[in-house]
Amino acid sequence: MPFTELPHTGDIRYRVTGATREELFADAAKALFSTITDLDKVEAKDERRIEAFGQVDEELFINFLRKALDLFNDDGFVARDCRITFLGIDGSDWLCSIQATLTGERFDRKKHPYRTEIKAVTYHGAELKQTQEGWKATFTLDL
Amino acid sequence: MTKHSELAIGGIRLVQRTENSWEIPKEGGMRVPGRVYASRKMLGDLDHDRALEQVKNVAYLPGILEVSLGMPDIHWGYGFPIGGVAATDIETGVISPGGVGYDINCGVRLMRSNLHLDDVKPKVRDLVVALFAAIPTGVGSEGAAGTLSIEEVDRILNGGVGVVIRKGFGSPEDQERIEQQGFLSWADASAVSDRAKQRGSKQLGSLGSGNHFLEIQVVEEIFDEEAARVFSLEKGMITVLIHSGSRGLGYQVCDDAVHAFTRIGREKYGIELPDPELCSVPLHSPEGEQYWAAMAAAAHFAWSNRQVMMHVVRQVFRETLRMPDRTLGMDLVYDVCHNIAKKEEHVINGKKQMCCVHRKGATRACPPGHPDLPEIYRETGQPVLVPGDMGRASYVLKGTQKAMTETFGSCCHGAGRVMSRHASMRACKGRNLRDEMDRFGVEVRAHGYRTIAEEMPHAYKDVSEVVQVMHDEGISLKVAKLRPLGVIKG
Repeated sequence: MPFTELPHTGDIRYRVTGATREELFADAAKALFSTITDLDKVEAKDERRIEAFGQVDEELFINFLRKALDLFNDDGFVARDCRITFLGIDGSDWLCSIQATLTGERFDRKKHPYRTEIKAVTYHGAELKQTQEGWKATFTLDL
Repeated sequence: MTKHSELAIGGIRLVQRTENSWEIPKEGGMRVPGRVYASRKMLGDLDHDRALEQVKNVAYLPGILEVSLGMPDIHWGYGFPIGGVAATDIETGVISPGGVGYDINCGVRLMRSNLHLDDVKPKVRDLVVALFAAIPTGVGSEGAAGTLSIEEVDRILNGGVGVVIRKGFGSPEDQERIEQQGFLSWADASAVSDRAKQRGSKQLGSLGSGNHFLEIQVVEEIFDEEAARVFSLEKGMITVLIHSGSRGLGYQVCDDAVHAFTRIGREKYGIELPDPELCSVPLHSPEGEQYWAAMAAAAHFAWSNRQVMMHVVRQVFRETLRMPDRTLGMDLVYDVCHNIAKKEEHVINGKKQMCCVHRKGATRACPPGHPDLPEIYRETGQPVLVPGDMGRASYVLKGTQKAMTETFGSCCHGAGRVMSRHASMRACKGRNLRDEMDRFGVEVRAHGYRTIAEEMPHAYKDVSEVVQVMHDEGISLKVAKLRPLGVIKG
């Protein structure tokens, strides 16, 4: 499993791991959408793009997830897949523009099993780090 | 008083100050001590959770006054604990959007009726089915009020609950039984982002998901006859409780502010806090004032949302039971906020002063005689509404002077979770939840098995124990106990 749920009394908290930071960000987006519905029931009918920019740190990670959640809040888009590209600014490795392409479709109550509404992606306990085994992150959603 | 003792829960030192309250001594960057209200037994629930650490973190807020508080329903949240109360100095203190929460003015309202249990018992299922059909719940649902234009949203954001009442959702008498009469004079729609308004435009009159609910109940027990009479409650009476908030509009207002303040708080105002979600700016700053106006606007939306749902409840009862409004007598008892910040007068170090009281999962609890109370409740004190889990009970209490001296006039707001949603789901494996809820005598409708599994009574503290702590400490006094009969959830 690329993401697992950690104990949190009030809300929901995920740990995500990835061999690369591209994989990690993509899996975090999937964890987010899997909170709303069952991704196995979501078809790759449509595409949306989002972009986030800054130092590769917790703040950028949370900002990226906020923008992914906006896709659902704006027009009900749920993604089953996500492709990420990090573009270094002036050749930098830590100051980046993240370009994400998410594939999925609009949420349909008749087709998609209903899980829960996400109120927000919070900064509480957010972590993003590179380890010897790859990339690791945690984040908390307010439900 | 028994001998006072010291405990360590989850590595945090607690010094007993009364039977049911515990001080977390000031240390490190804490500007004031912490204090938690809980019985010794309930403290055990906090061992595996980070709520006490969050009480300590809140004590770092610049301008925090006297004490960082945790009510007995306290549990791990984001930033503030759920069940957290903190007052900051109105001149030199900060405002923390995380101290209000994403669901701005999430709250509850209680309706009474002329109906008796015997009248309604055979009809509970019909009522629950009809309510579930009439009140939009869950993900992607559109509100009972239809889609509003942005101008209509703006009118609500500026004008408060009176705007929807004048449109025909309810009656003018409802308004005086809403905290602050559902109107905060400093609300300003122009402080709210377009995205927030867009989200709100489709959601007026919708319940939401998670722990939001709408419940048909019966008054099971009266503890204070006189106050119950003033609140127009009596044993055997049918009541309805609505728990919901400001929906996507409020979430977006908070999200916009938190996102901006994580950086501005640190870089522009030099405010360093142990958790980025606590991010704050001075109340007296352009950013603080903008959030303050936007928060109030979102609070207007939440009151209007509950008002529209209450109107639908009256319609459903009228049609299902085929009784006119006068026979039903479904009047509002009171509507309280759970997530809000307000400027209030309190006595600090023996002197009256204005403070900004953040309540994150706590209710106000005004004592008898308080100027913010409507005339009808001036002598009894404020009705304090404390919903419990969907199987056991909810309570009505009344505010006291003790709350003013100890908790900035605040009380608990619910039972409080003890189990994560995940753990609750796991604990449900192999059980027949519908049968179990039948045994509680509660008719439940929700969109999915998952919501029911996550919200089962075992996931919550026993609200009776939570309320008893407030009662025994004299913070609020028990008036009535309500037992659920039917509930709809998201």
